[in-house]
Amino acid sequence: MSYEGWILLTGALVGITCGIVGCFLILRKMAMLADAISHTVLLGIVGAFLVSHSMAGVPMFIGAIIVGLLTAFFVQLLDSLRVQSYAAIGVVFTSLFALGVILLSLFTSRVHLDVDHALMGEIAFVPWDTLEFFGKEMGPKAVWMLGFVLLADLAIILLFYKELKITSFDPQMAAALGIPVLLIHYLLMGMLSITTVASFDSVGAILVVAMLIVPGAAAYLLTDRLSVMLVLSAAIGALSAIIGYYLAVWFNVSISGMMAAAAGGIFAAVFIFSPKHGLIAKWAANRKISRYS
Amino acid sequence: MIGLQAVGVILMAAMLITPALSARYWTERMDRMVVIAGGIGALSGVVGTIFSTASEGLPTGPLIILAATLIFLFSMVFAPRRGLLVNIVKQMKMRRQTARENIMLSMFDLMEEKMRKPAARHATGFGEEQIRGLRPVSKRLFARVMKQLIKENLVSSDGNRYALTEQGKEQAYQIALKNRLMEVYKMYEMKFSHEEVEKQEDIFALPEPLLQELSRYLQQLGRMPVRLSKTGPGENRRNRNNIIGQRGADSRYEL
Repeated sequence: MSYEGWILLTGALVGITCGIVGCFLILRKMAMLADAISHTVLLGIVGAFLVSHSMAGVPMFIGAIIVGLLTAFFVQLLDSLRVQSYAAIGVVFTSLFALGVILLSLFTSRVHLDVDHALMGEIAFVPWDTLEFFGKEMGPKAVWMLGFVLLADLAIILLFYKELKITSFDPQMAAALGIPVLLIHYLLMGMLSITTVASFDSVGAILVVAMLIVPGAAAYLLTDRLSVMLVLSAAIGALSAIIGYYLAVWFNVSISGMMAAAAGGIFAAVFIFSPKHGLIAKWAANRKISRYS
Repeated sequence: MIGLQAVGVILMAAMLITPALSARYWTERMDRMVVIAGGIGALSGVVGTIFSTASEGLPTGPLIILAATLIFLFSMVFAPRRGLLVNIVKQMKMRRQTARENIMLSMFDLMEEKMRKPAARHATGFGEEQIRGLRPVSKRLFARVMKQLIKENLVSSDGNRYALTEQGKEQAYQIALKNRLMEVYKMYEMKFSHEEVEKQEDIFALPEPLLQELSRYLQQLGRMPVRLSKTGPGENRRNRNNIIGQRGADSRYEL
């Protein structure tokens, strides 16, 4: 496949994976937790690097999952100690991130782990970092990693669809039905962590937030059904990656930045033109009501 | 320094949130909170910078964040009024107080029951299971509260069975009266809504006519607590609730 093709595929995979996971974050009103985990994952990556001395996928995933769950746990803990939950997120993610940066700069002379790269990502380099299997080139590592994470996410969502749905919309009822609400919560946080760490190579830890939240938020405005929302969110994620790539090539700017900007553009369009929840639709509905009365 | 640059935005977010959140633990006043938050921010800045100069390669920004977080954790645990420690102690005291009231109430209920059935009058005291069966109290708490009650000479015990002493009967009567007045008050709350009752914790703080009405309801419902003891009337009527005291004394269950 061509250089361009690999980049498009990577971007689309990021969009789809993040879009699907993002839906549940939007429905649970936990979008800020995505921001928090996307930052603290840095600590997981640095920790995994310090332990295993490699940038291989598996240790990084394990580190990211541990730190991601830790973030969710600390936020939950502070929340239960009557700290406002948004303030708790702010405190937890800044301090874990600071810890990550301290570790990083303490060992930065000996290792090659670029802070800017970790935060911003560079999708243009993805096609050159290929996976070799018995001497044969098997395509970029990032594509394999993202594909694996996408499959894992899909498997978890298909297996626990009912549980995820009911705990997202009505946690009290879910608890009354005997569904382990907290377990499902941490399952979602684990999914979020591996999704973030898989995407951070291509779009960077900070822009993952855009891919996680924006497609889900846009899909939320377009439909009232969870299954449709998941599909729409994945489609919007992939679409914004593709549009973003071509715009970036056209204007000769950062690819990942343009992808996030494209996602923002799509959201703005949906926000205005959505047939049911859009600005225009609401304005028309209001006019109709005022005319009748 | 890479650290300072890369962490700029995050440092800002942390400095905006953490000192203010910590300051909230120390005061209830906006103006003081602003000053304290500023102080905490300055302190964490100084501490973080000092530590970053202590060793080579330590970035300043993240250390400032960590210093602020440590101050926040300290505030959360040790703050004088909103802190965790203070609240845990308060909660434990509260739990004990509730357990104490529940045990006294249960013993009162059991005594009252016994008085209405003349056949059972001879038996003295009640078992632990019997008392805990009426209102759930954990075994450990029961043992601790009972020990205290015996020490205060409110309850006498032969090891297995517990009975209210004369003093205990009087106190249990007051608690039961308070509780049952509260019950009827809650039942007819809508009716009394015009009375503007703010302090619901202390039922005796209600205006006198309202208390009279409540006690009338208690009589009608047959819920007026029965006098268990024969202590002198002066002792009984020391409380503000004269009328109630008298009505209680008139009750046909009086021993």
